[in-house]
Formats: sequence, structure tokens, C-alpha cells
Amino acid sequence: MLASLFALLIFPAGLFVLVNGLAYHWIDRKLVARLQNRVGPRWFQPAADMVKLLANEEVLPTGVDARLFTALPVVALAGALAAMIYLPIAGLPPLYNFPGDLIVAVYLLSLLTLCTGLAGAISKDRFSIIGATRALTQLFSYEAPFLLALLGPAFAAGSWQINEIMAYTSSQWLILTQPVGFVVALIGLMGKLEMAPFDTPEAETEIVAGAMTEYSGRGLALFLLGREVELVGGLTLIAAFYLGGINNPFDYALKTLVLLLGVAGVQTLMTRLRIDQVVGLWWRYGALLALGQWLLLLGQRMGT
Amino acid sequence: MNVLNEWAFIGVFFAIAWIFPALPIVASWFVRPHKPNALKKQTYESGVETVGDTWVQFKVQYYIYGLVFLVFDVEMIFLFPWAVAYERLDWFAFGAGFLFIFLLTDALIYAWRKDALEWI
Amino acid sequence: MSKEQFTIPIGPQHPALKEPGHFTLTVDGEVVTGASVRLGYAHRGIEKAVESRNWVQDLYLLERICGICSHIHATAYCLGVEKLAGVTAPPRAQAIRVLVAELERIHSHLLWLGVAAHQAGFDTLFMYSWRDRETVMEVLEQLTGNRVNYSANLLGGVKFDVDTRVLETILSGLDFLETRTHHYLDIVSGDRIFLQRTRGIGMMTSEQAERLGVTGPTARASGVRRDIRVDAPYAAYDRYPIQVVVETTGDLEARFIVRLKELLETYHLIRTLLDGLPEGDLKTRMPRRIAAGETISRVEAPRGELFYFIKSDGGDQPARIKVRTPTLSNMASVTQLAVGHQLADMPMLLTGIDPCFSCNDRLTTVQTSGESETWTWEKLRQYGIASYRERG
Repeated sequence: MLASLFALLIFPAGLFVLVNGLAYHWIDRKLVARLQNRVGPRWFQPAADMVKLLANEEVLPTGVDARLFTALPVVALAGALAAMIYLPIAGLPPLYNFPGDLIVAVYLLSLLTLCTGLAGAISKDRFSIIGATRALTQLFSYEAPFLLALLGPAFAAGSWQINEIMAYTSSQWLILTQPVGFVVALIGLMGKLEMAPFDTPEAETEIVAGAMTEYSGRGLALFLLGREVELVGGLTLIAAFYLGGINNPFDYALKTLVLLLGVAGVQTLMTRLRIDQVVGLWWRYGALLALGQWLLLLGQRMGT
Repeated sequence: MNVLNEWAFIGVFFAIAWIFPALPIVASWFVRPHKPNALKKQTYESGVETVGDTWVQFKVQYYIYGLVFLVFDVEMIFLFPWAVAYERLDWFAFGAGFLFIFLLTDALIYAWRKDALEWI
Repeated sequence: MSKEQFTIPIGPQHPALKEPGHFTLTVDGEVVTGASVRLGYAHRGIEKAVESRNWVQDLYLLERICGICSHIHATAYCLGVEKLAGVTAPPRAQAIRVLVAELERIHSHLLWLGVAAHQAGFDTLFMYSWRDRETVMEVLEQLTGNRVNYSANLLGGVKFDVDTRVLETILSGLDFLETRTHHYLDIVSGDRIFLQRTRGIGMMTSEQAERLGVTGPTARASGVRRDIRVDAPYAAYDRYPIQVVVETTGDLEARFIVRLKELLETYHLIRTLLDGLPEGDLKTRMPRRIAAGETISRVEAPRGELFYFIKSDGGDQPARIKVRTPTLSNMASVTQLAVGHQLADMPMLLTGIDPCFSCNDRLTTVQTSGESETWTWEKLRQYGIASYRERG
């Protein structure tokens, strides 16, 4: 009991994921900064931001439901953390698993976006409302292709249990046989995390901070932490499925960091897409490509 | 038979996961200032006072997208068990799954042709 | 509840606006159905203030109207006052005025490129163009001692000369900037994702541009051939002619291309100018009191036509100075073009005219219930103090 509580709260889930998220967030910021010919933040900057935000006063704007306003960031972070017990964090086998845990993990990861949307919608502020509609519209567009992209490995492995899929992918690199799925999954993750060029829901030059506009202090800190946790979770999932599995901590660090480098590269190269362009991109190309890839797989399996 | 037990873990962990967000809240309770005033609590409208109601009827476009998504997402979930177990299925179940995918693709193409994906 | 409109206020405190202004946008979902603008947040009462200072002090005050195009304000003022006094600055001084004005144009256009890219969410271009802007800032610092507000002008001449050391810095800086500008030109006309945000957005025909009274690069991007440097050459522009860059498409992409091609034209102009810099004095004597009369002075600022009206009653202080900046002429196009575009295009559209609110906001008379009354500078100041004290 004590051992499993430790595993849940400290390592590998829980505290470790938070620290890991802060570190990856810093690496991402630093990489983007270097690619843009800037110096970039120092290593403790994300952690310092968190401390500062938590020490700040939280302003409760007029007209919002105080309980919901306070609870939403908590739910968002809790959801993201809860997803971690099914993922092979730090190269260790997932803490718990059961048939179908892939679906649960993916939906727990979506909880953050849902909470963001709701948080924007309960606010009276117009930027928040626009941000919320954009966040949810974006969720509508990337979620289905993202799921399809994860269905590919599940299908190849003949299981929808994360550790069983991992056992299958450890022997082969699915990025070679399902390149489209890999790209869709990685871009989908960027959409999930609202990274450039998919930062439309929080485009600062248009709608200030989107759904987060009215959040300050700890609420904002928890949302940001949730996003960092999700970054770790998403990278782990993609590395485990497409990059030949994650078998030890070294494997984990190497593969997720390579993915992070790719993500940072895409972030620097692209102009922010408009929401209609995001939706068009996903529904026209993302969904069809993922579907096509999957049908191809089906055909292959039927042939053998 | 153990399934329920394993599902219960989500609940357990979700309950435990609350501790993390709750800890900083409690901690920050002691350090952060708390001096609200009417001006500070005003809605942020980038420097001008709010005029009119914010919660007005929104464009129907979002609703259509919501529908398209819902159809897709729910069907995707049904596809998962079918896809991972298809080797153990008989021809009828297999054919039913295929029909399902066909309808899904068909629906997407229909929505596309109907300009439901067009941003208006 | 159905007929209610969803209005989005942009500004005065909004990350898209680097200076305070206010736009009210009504949207239907994401599509803008109406836009209006309110200006005046950066009002500093400069036009009133110049009436209580002497001609020389005013030069420095007017130079501070704008932080980016400071030199061009001072030039417009100097040219006007010199015209009133019947004095002409020596040719070398005029050439140096043009030199600084063109360096300032490089600075302004590169700054604009970065800001516009940032508005589109393309921060990499933003960072790179601002890094390259440092080159011209350093040239200007070596030339004048300042990175902005160069104080190059004197009434009747300029303050400093161009020596060989500075000459080399300028020329090597120009070579570097020229390669970079070609690179940026490739990006803004070749990057497909960036083009999605600029091509066909904010279309303005040349008729519309004429009707709305648009000036500067914004007008030239819509096919209106209008450039004060060519139409009514001032300072030394009659000796160093430029090619007017005109694009006919009239969308945001054209506004990018016009400004970047103008940079290439400017590099060329500076090179010819430095080749044949006339010898001679840097300044002539100016009288302390300017003869009574009134005049106008027009110059081509980086953003378009800058207009000065100067009136003297024969004293050592101007009787009235009126400034009309290009931003004001261009502002109407923003609210006109906004309708039908998406909310996401608004920052780009606004930046497309290269707005400068500080240049804009200098209202002087306060109207009270129909009757207008001219306030003294002191009264205005007291009013401001009392008003803010009241608000707490």
C-alpha cells in the first residue's frame, strides 16, 4: 500500500511528472529561443514562474461562478495527472493497466482542453469567450484524427491496452510502417497543447490570452502545470507507440527529447493558423489521411 | 472479474491527484495577498468598461462542428474494440465493422460536399 | 436575445496594440461585421505646447512626437520654418537630412516587418528582422550619437558631418541589410503558410485608396503612385531621385512587398548620396524671430505623407503649428476593410498601415457644449491634474 502510494504521488507518477513537465517546458522554450536567435530563459525559469504565480493574488472577476472558477484548474491538473498512471513514464512500466486503458488515458488528457473551454465560457470577458469557442472548435477538429492515429498502433498490436501495445512496438518501429499516423499524432499533440502554429485559442495579438484571460495566480499556475504534464504524457505516448517503445529511462529521455526537438522546430517555422484554417486542415487532410492509413493497414492485415 | 477493481483505480487516483493541486492552493493561501476591490475585480475588456451582455447567442457554425465531431468521436470509440479484436471476429461482425467505416467516411465526404467544413 | 451583437473591444490596453488606441469590433462568430475606432489616448498636447516655446525649443519638442520617425518630424518643421524665414540650408546639410531620413526609413520598415510578423504569429521572422534592425540602429548611433531621436536637424542646417569612418560603417551595414532584405522578400512572397495569412487579405483597390485618402506605402501597395519625395521633392530629393515602388494587388502581401522593395530602393539612394555628397557648410544663420506669415511643409515619412502647417506672427514663438500624420489618413482604411474579415486578421490589417498612435493624438481645443474655447497650456495642465485627482 505504501509502495503504491509512493508510486502514485512521488515517482514515477505525481511529483516526478510535474518536475519533468517543468523541465520539458524549459527545454521547449530554450530550443525555440535558440532557433529564433534569442538567448532564452534560464533552467529554473518555469519553476520560478510557478512559484511567482502561486504567490500572486488570485483575482476573482465579477460575474463568474466562484466555485466553478476555482475548481476547473484543479480538475484539469488532476485529470492530466490521473492519465499518467497508465503511461510508461520514465521508461518504467505503467503503474496500472486494463484492457481499454488507452481510451481512458487519451480522454483524461482531453480533460484539460475541456476545462479550458469551460473556464473561458463561464467568464464574462469577451476574449475568454472567443478563446473558449476557439479551444473547443480546435478540440473538435484534432481529437478524432488524433484518436485515429493512436488506433493504428493499437490495431497493429491487436490490443488496446497500453503495455501490450508497447510490448509489440518494442520489437519494431511503427514510424517506418505508419509514417502518416506518426505525423498526425505529433501534430495532434501540438494542437492539444495549443503550441504554435496551433495557438489560435490563445493568440495574444487577437484575444489577449484566450480562455485564460481572467485567470491569475494559482488558477493560471495550475492550468499551466496541467499543460506541462500533458506535454510529458503526450510525448511519452507517441514515443512508446511509434518510436520503438520505451524500455528504460535512457530510452525515455532520448526519444521524448528527439520528439521535443521536432516539436520546437515546427513551432519556429510556422505562422499561426487561423481557426478556419486549423479546422480545414484537420478535417480535410488530417482525418482523411489517418483514415486512409488505417484502411491501408486493414488491407495489409487481410492480405496476410 | 477484476475489471471493476481496475476501473476503481481511476477513481482512487483521481481522488489522490486532487492532492497535488490542493497542496499549492493551501500553501499559497498563506503567502499570497488577498485585497480585492471593485476596480480590480472588473472584467478585463482591455481598458474600457463592459457594454452589454457577453452571453449572447453564438453563431450556428460551432454547433455544426460540434455535431460532426461528436459523430466522428463516438464512432471512433466503437471502432477501437472492433479493430483490436478483428482477428477473432466472424464474417458478419467483420462486415458490420466495414460498413461502419464506410458510413463514417461517407459522412465525412457528405459534410465536405455540403460545405459544412467551410467557414462562413 | 437573438439580435444582440457580440462586440469585442480591442484596446486601449491590448497586446496587439503597442500604443494605446481603441477599436470596437462587432463579430458574428469569428467574422467581423463592423468596426469603429477611437483615437486620442496618447494625447500629449504638443501642438498647444509649441505655442509657448521659442522656435528652437519647438524643434526638440516636435521631434518627440514620434519615437520611430522622429527625424522626419524635425525635417518637416525645419523646412517649413526655413521657408518662412526665407533661408535655405546649404546643400551638404540637405543631403545629410536625406541620409538620416532614409536610414530612419530602414529602421522603421524593418521594425514594421517584425511587428507585422508577430501579429500574424510568426515570431521567428519577428526576432530575425529585429536582430537585423540593430545594424541600422548602430549606424545611426555612430552617425548621430542616438538610436532614436537623433536631433540631426538645426534650423538652417544640420548638427554633424559624415566622416570617412562612419561612411564605411554605413556602407558595410547596407551590404548586410541588402542580403537580408532579399531574404525577407523571399519569405513574405514564398512562405506558403505565411501567404495564407496575407494573400488576398485586406484587399483595397486603387479607387478605394484614393477615396479613403490613404498615403504612403499603404497607398502604393494599392497601385496609387503617390510619394512626396517624387511628387514634390524637398531637401535634396531633387538631386537624388528615387523609383516609386508600386504594387497593384492591394492586399496585405502587397504591403509587405512594397515596404521591402522600398528598402532596396533606399539602399540604392543612400549609396548614390554618399558617393556624391556635396561639399560645403553645414548650416546658415537663422533669425531668432521669424517673419510673420504661414506656410505648409510636406514630407514623405516612412508611413506616408506628413503634413505641417506653420504660422508665425513675427515673434520668437510660433502662432500655430498643426501636424497631420500619415496614420490619421490611413486609419479610415482599417475600419473600412475590417468588415467581412476574420477576427484573426484584424491585428494584421491594423499593422498593415503601420499605425503610430503617438504621432496621431495631439488634439488641442476642448469643446464645451457647442461653444469651442481655446485653452491655454497651463489651463490644460490644471484640468488634467484635477481630472486625475478626481478619478483617484
